[in-house]
Amino acid sequence: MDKPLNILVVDDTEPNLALISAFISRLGHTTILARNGQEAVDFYRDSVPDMVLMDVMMPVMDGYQATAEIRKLAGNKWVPVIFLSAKAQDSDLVRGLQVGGDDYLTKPINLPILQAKIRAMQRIAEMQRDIAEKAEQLELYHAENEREQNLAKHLLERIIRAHKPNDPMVEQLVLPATRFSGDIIATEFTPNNILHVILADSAGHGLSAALNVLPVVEVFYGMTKKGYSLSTIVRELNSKIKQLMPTERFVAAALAAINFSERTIEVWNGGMPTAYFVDDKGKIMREWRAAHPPMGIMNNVDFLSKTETFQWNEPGRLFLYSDGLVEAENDAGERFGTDRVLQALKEECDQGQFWYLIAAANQFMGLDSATDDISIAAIHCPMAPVGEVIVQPEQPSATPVEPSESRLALKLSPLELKSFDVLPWLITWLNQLHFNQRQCQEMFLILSELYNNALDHGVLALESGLKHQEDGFGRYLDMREERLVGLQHGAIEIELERVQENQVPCLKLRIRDSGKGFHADAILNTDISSSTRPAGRGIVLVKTLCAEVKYPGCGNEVIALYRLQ
Amino acid sequence: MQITVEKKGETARLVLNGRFDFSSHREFRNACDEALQTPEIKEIEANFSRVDYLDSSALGMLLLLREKAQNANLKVSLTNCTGLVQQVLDVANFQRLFTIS
Repeated sequence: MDKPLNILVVDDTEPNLALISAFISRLGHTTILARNGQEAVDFYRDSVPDMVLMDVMMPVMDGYQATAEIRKLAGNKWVPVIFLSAKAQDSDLVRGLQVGGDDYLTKPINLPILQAKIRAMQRIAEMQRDIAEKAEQLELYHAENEREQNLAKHLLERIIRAHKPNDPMVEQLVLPATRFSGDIIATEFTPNNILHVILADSAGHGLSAALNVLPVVEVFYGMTKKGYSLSTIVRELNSKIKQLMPTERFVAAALAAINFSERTIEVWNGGMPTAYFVDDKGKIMREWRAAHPPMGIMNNVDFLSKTETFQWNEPGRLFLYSDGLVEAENDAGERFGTDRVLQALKEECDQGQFWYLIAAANQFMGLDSATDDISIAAIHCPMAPVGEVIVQPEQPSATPVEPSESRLALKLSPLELKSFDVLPWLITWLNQLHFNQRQCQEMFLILSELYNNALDHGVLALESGLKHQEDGFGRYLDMREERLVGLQHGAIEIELERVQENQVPCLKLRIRDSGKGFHADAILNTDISSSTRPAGRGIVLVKTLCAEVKYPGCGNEVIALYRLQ
Repeated sequence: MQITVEKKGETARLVLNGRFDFSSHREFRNACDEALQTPEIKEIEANFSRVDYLDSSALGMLLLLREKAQNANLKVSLTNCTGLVQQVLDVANFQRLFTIS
């Protein structure tokens, strides 16, 4: 049994109306009866029937006009209209269909055929209704999806700090292939003014790839601000991604630490295209091939966090980019390729090779039509140090520093000296003592200078003069690594203590190493403004930040006093 | 991509043919399962001689194969890797994870 319908029957002849309505009632449907076109339109408006059987020739309004009106009233909803007419010419039938009729039966009515037509129309109407419902659902779903994607995009951009103002030393471009980018570029300074940069490319693209880079940026920003080294950050990133993501997902990344005062670039490249240092004349001075698998694949034991360091002696730029750039194809199916990247980087041009590279890529394939995410970063590396702490006259602190007698002392033996990233750990402790941000930053700088001196020149007995010879830096690093790996004996003791000196709250820092010591007096008496870049520049900087710096013994022990107010 | 599985003694060779990307997901998984579920197989060789392209999701599928094979104590090797395939595997340093020839 078909679903009962409510059928509007329109005819100006009473016997016809009676016959048809009786027949339809027998089929189990209900009827509404109209005696001319105008009534048909009015009744349609009032009761919205499921189907219309329409006579053609009627007083007041004929069936053609009534059908046209009903179609207008129905809008998107489809209501089957079958003409029942004594007019049997082909032209009548055509006109009926043109004004919006769906079928045409000639009088006298053959009742079995009418029944079949009603049933056929009913089937089509049900199908139409189904489709309309699905279309409506789809539209709702689409609108909902649009809202959710906009929210997700908003959140993701906040989390990855997409709107963070660029560091002036960094030029960058990220072009997502879809609304969401699986590529990200993030930059942040450590407390001792080392610029960390990450360019990461999560496998795939779109929302799922974008989600994968969230933990990456969180860890990167957080650990950089706390002063962790590149190696420690990379190791943490790898283990985080491995822990969070399914086996088949990973994140390729290149990370760099740029020390503008030492003029060094340290790079870890896991699964990214080769990174280049290009001088301002367009000469490629150094390349960093992918030395590791992407992050999130190796387990912690097999993971290698080894970085490669370079010192620049000519101003230039460090270039990092994702494989979306190299693999981008033009209309002819050619790839942009590494050769074209290198070609663009070798150009000497006024605005720098970054924009030249982008212009070249854009000319080759039209960057807006890329099918994979593309990201490019260039870090400007000048000869003069940037971002160095500018020593300002001490501002009297508004809030008095609470008195305290806390003291932290620790001793590091060869095992810890080889692998333990001790400075962020100390800073975490200092942070608990409620110093302000500037104080923490300065203390980090003091600590890192003095600790590195104790390790390099004390325990490892490296000559600092070596660094400043021609090509000496590479040899210095090699020697440092060799001695550190083979280190059997030696220690560094660190002591941090809150003290009152002449009623002024201070932090007293003492570092003692197992080395032979050195003649500190000459360096301590150097004026910072005259020291261009000699050995001992770090100690001079420390001296300007501290109330007092002294080497009481043979030079293997340093005591620095930092005023907290 | 088309994959044929050739089983010979203790070795199952997956001969891959065409572009190895996300659309190959189902075929690759089926081929791997067929090899993994044959009890006498001790070694799986993925043959890349007829692969002209592979993307990062293909690398992901290889990582899945590696994990499943490790759990079943099977060896996995990637063979006949040349041209672009070799470049992609090189950049990803997959020689640290697979025997590649």
